[in-house]
Amino acid sequence: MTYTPDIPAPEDTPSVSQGQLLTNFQQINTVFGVNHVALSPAVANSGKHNFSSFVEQGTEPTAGASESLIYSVDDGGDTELKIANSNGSFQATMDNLLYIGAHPVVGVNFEPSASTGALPGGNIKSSFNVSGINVDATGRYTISFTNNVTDRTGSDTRDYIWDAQVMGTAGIAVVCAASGADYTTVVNPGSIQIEAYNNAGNRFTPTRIVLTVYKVQ
Amino acid sequence: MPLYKTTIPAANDRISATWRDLRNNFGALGEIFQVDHYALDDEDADLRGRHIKASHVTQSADPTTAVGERAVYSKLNGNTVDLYMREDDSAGAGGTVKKITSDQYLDVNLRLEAWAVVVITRDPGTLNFTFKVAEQEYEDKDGVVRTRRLASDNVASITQIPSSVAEWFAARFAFSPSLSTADYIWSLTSFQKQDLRRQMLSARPDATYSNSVTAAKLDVASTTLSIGVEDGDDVYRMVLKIWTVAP
Repeated sequence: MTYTPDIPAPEDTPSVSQGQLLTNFQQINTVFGVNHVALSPAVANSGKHNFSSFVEQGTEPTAGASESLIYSVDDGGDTELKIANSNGSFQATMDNLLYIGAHPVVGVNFEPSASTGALPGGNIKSSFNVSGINVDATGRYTISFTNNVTDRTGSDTRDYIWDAQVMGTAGIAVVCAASGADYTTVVNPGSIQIEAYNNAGNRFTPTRIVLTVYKVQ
Repeated sequence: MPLYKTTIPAANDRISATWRDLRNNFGALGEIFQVDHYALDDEDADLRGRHIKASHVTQSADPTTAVGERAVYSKLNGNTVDLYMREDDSAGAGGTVKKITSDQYLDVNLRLEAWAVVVITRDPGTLNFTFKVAEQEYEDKDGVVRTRRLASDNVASITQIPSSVAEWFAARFAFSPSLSTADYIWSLTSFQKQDLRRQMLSARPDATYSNSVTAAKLDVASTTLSIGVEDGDDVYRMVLKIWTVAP
């Protein structure tokens, strides 16, 4: 079925135009129904979007002075959304994440314990993508992730960004990636080991520790 | 709204019999197209057909995507309607579905719920500090110079509070409205001009968490790592970020 935009012509007889008009009305309903609540049957939401699908654009469109655009482009085989406005364009998605350059993939606020072994779940006050925390020794903790940190290709990676902070009990306290013979013994795709030190340079049990891990996109 | 008919005109219809249906269809087409879009006959010809907005009706299931296209749509998440996206179906098993919004926020797993860049000054010879949110001038699109406050709106104030021994200063961030939880994830970093009296910023040490950290406040302390000369070694700036786990 095709849409014929240039009918009826002045010299057409109604019997000729009838089929074309009917086809056009049907075709409009069918095509408009892609992504939208269809014209017929008419319902309260007719005209609104069911969803918006964005077909890859070979040439990136440019936004006019008073408009912003959403479109998709090929990015190394993936179809990614971009947004353009009067200041230019930027990538809005990467794989299954919003694209913000470095995406937080782990976050936790926990109350350490002096007892070694698995930290009770109640001591994990808030978290994302944390499967558990182990108290390896006084002031030494391994935070395990539910899902490994991955790189752009989907492979596990240790090359991520972490930020740990501590609330001590008194005086100066620091928290850092644990000392280890090798980076790979401390920072892993599925976990990170951290240590808290007091003013005397000894590992100790602080009041609270917070940690974030960012995946480089 | 006139009813759009997909069955007219019939083969033996005469114009005199179907002209109303034809006109109704053109009218319905124009009215429904105006939902979310500029009208087919908008007085500004350049606007005709463009989107005003895209309102997405809640879908009961994730729509399928083809290879080379990505979809954005609405779906119920509990009692909330959130925006979702689905990757293209290059693997042939259905693209990965990801939530775009989480309540009133973009869903980025953790959300930056509060932040501030703070300029710190000290009256010489005293331990009286002033904390002020940094400001930045910028030109808006009309060329008017405006001032932007480098803090999130919920950072209501930063004030000095009495400090303990070994604390160079202590300060309180007050949040209004309060943060969504007291179990947030903070990050504090500082800038010093000299390295003589190295300061370290942290949530104010205390054996009781809520003495320093609540949804309405964060008490911070600058403790001294090494003793140096009296002046010229202060913390001049501190940057606060507070993340919370997205609901």
